[in-house]
Amino acid sequence: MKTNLSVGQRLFLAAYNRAFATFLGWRQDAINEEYVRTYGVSGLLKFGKMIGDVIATLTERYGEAHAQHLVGFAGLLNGCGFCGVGHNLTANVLLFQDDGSIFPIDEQDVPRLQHLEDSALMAELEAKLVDTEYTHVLELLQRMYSLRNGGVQSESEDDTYLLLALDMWLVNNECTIAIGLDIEPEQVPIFAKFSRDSELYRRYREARTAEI
Amino acid sequence: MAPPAVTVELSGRLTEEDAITMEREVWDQLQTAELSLPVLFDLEELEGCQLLARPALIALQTRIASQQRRSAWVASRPRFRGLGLLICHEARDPLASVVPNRELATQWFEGDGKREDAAQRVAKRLAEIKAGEAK
Repeated sequence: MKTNLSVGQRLFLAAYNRAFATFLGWRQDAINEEYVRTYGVSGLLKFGKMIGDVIATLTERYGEAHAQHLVGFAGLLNGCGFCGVGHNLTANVLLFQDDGSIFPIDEQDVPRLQHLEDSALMAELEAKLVDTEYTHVLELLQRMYSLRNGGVQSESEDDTYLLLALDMWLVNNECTIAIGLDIEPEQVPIFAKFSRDSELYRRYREARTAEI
Repeated sequence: MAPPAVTVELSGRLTEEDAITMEREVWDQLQTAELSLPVLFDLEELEGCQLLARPALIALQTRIASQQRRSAWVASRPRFRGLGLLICHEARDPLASVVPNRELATQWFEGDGKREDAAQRVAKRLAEIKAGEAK
């Protein structure tokens, strides 16, 4: 049974959701509401800042697009469609914006990948990211998978960053899963200043379709 | 050898009726089981779960939470890990976890951590990276 929010919490969310959309560029009202229901207003603010810090830290090391791929993979592994689709979509559009390239993993394919056994999922990623230009990102995803499944211990600087992504998304998916388990890919926003209505997104989808 | 646990293996397509029966049977068992005995939900053979089956699973997890008993949902498919996480979340059970294999379930049972501890690890790693102390 869902806990009801107080009047104060509802008033806060009304203002917060507007500000969130203005400053960040997309809406996630239901996620914000679940955060408040779970952790209170202070938890929403605390974890919102923490997520921003983690993405900034990953971006500094791996670049904006691959930082989004890493957290998208963490969300995918946890079964969250909101994060699995949304962060991979954001990553893919950013890559396309940078150099016109089409990342081999289509964000629309995430729900199907989430139904696979882990071993089959990893085999599919390895088959799709076979070109040398994707070697590094594939190695990072493989290492994340090993760290998540407990087969290895942290032993490098990269591992610290990958565990940062995995742990942050354990926290984040605690709330996003309430919406993200059953969400349709088309309902997931791009986590950036440009939306699905933008010319950039339209060109990206056209280019991806033309690749097939 | 893995420590003993009350083990619930779910298989096939779980219906509302299956889930209600399972909730009743498992709860009957847990009412007399030692509180130190954890519960392991194995979803390896699960093929699907009706939307209407979820409330009984959440109700069972809520009852487990009321006993402060440790539990784990084991699934090697992301989709079913998501289902397990939703159940743990809706039941507000900090002693329940979702893991990809039985080895990690055993580790979870042997520890005393909570699901929310991940936030402390994030804060610690952010501080290490900022201080240039990442391994």
